[in-house]
Amino acid sequence: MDNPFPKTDRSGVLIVSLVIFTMLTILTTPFIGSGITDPIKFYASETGQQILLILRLPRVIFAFLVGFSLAMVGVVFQALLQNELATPYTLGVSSGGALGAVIAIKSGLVISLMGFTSTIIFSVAGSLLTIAIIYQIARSGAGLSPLILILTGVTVSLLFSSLILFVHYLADFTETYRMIRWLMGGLQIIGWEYSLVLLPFVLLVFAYLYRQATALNILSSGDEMALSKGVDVLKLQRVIFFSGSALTGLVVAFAGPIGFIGLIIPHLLRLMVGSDHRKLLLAAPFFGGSFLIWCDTLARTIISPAELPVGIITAMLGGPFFIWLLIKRKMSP
Amino acid sequence: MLQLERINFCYGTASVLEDINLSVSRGEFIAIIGPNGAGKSTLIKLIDRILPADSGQILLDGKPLPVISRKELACTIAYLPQETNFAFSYTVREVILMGRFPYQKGVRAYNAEDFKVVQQMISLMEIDRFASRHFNELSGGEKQRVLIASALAQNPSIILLDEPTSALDLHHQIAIYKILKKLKEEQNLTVCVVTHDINLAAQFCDRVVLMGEGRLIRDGKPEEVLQFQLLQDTFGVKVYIDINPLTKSLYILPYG
Repeated sequence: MDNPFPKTDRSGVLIVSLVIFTMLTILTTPFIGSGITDPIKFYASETGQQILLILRLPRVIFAFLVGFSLAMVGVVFQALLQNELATPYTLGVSSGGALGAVIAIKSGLVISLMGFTSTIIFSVAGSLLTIAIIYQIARSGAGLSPLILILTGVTVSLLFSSLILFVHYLADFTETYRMIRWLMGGLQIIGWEYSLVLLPFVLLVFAYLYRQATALNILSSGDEMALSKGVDVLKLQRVIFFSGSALTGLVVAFAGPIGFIGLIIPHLLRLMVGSDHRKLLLAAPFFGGSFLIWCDTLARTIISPAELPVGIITAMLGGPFFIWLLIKRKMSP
Repeated sequence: MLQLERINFCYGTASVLEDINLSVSRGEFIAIIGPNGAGKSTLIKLIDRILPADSGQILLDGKPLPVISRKELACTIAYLPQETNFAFSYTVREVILMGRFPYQKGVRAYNAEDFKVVQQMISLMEIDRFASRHFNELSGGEKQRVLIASALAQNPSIILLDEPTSALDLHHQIAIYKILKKLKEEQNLTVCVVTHDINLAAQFCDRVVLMGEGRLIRDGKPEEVLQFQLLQDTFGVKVYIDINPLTKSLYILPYG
C-alpha cells in the first residue's frame, strides 16, 4: 500500500547534506590557518605534514567529537527534562567538573594517570561526584521527576559556582589566570590521545540513545502516557541521565565548559527537521560537530598568531543567533 | 479477563482506595462514576500499572500484573490520561504512530503494517481533515480524538479512558461513545470509562460502577446503580430520574 506519510518534508535530504557537509568540513578546515597558501605544496613539505597530522587534523576531529557529544546530550536532556531550554550543563555536571579543575590548578598537584593531567583527573572526579549527588537527591519512588532534577541541578550548579569563586579568592594571579582560561573552554590539543579516549564513549552512548529514539518521542507526552504506550520510563530516564552526564563530564574535563552548542544546535535542528528523535538525533550531533569545528577554526585564525578561546566564539555567535531565532519565530507564528 | 482482588492504595498516608474487588469480562462497557476524589482515576491507573497497588493483586487473563512486561501490557491495555501535553511539537500522524510503539522489536522502525493501522485510525476517528497538522495547535476536542486514535492504534483488548468526553461538544461526545460501542460489539473490546456524564453512561454502558471515598459502593446494570437514594447519598445532591422515551435509557437531572 501507499505510504500514508507523504514525503513532503525534506528532512532526509537535509540529514544527508549535513553528513556530507561534515565530511567536507573535516577535509578542508585543517588547511585553513597561518602558513598555508598552497595546500598541496604545504602537504608536500615535512613540517607541513607534521602540522597537519599532529596538530590540525587531531584538533579538528577532537572538536567534532566534542560538538557531536554536546549537541547529542543537549537533545536527550531536553527530552529527559521535557524542556526545550535544557542543556548538557543544566544538571550541574559541568560545574562539578569545573570545581574539580580549579581545585587541581590551585593545589598545584602534579600527578598523571595514563598520561592525563591532574586537572583532567580532578575534573572527571568532580563530574562523577556531582552525578552521584544529583541522582541521590532526585530519585523518588515513582521515577526521576524532571522538575526535581532541574531544581537539584540548578542548585548544585550555584553551590559549586560559589565554591569556584572561593577557590579563585584563595588563588594567586597566575593560578587565577589559568583557572579563567580553563573555564573559557578550549580545544588546543596535540596528538590523538583525547579523541581516542572520547571516541568509544561517544559511539557507545550514541548507539544506545539512537535505539531509544521512538521511546524519546513518547517520553515528551509525559510519564503516564509513556508508561501506557509500553515505555519503561524509569529505566530510560536513568540511562539517559547517567550516560549523558558521564559523557558531558568527560567532554568538560578535556575541553572545558564550552557553552551554547548544547542549547542552540538542538533547538535549531528541531526547527529544521522537527521533533522526531529518529531524525533529530542524527541531524543535531552532526551539525553540532561541524559547527564547533568552524568555531574553532575561527578561534585559531581570527587574531592569528594568537588564539581566542573557542568558548568565546560559540557564545558570541550562538547568543545573538539564538535571539534572532526567537524573534523571527515570534513574528511568523 | 481482568480481576482486582482486595486492592488498597495510599498516596503517602492518605488512603485513596480501600478493599476494591472488581471483575471485568471481555467485551463489557463499564462506566466508573462517583464524586471528585472518590478514587476513580487512581483505580484505572492501577489497572494499567501506572501506579503500583499497595496491597492486593490484579490479574490480567490469570497473570499477576507485575510479571507482565511494559510492552506486553501496552499490547493488551490502552490508557488515556485526563490531560496530555507534549513538551515538543509532533504531527497528528506522529502522535498516532506512537500507539504502535509496543509492537516495535529492537531497532526496527515502524513498518507498512503500522502505517496502515495509523491510516485506519485516522478514518475511524474522522480526523483526516487535520491529520497533517501539529498536535499542539489543535482544539481540545480534536486533541482528544487524536489521543483516542493513538490508544486504539495499540490494538488493545481493554481501553481505559479518564473523562474522554469532558472537553468535547455534544456531537463529538456522542460520536466517541458510538465508536467505543461499535468497537465493543464488532471486536469485543472491553471499554472502561471514568466519567461525570451519568446520562451518556446510562445510555451506552452495560455496567456502572459507583465509587465514593475510595470504596466501591454499587456495581451493576445502570438501572441497579442509578437509583435516587444511592445517588443522593453519594453525591450529596437531589436528582430527578426518568426514562428517555427515545433511547429507553435512564436520564438523570440534578437539582438544588
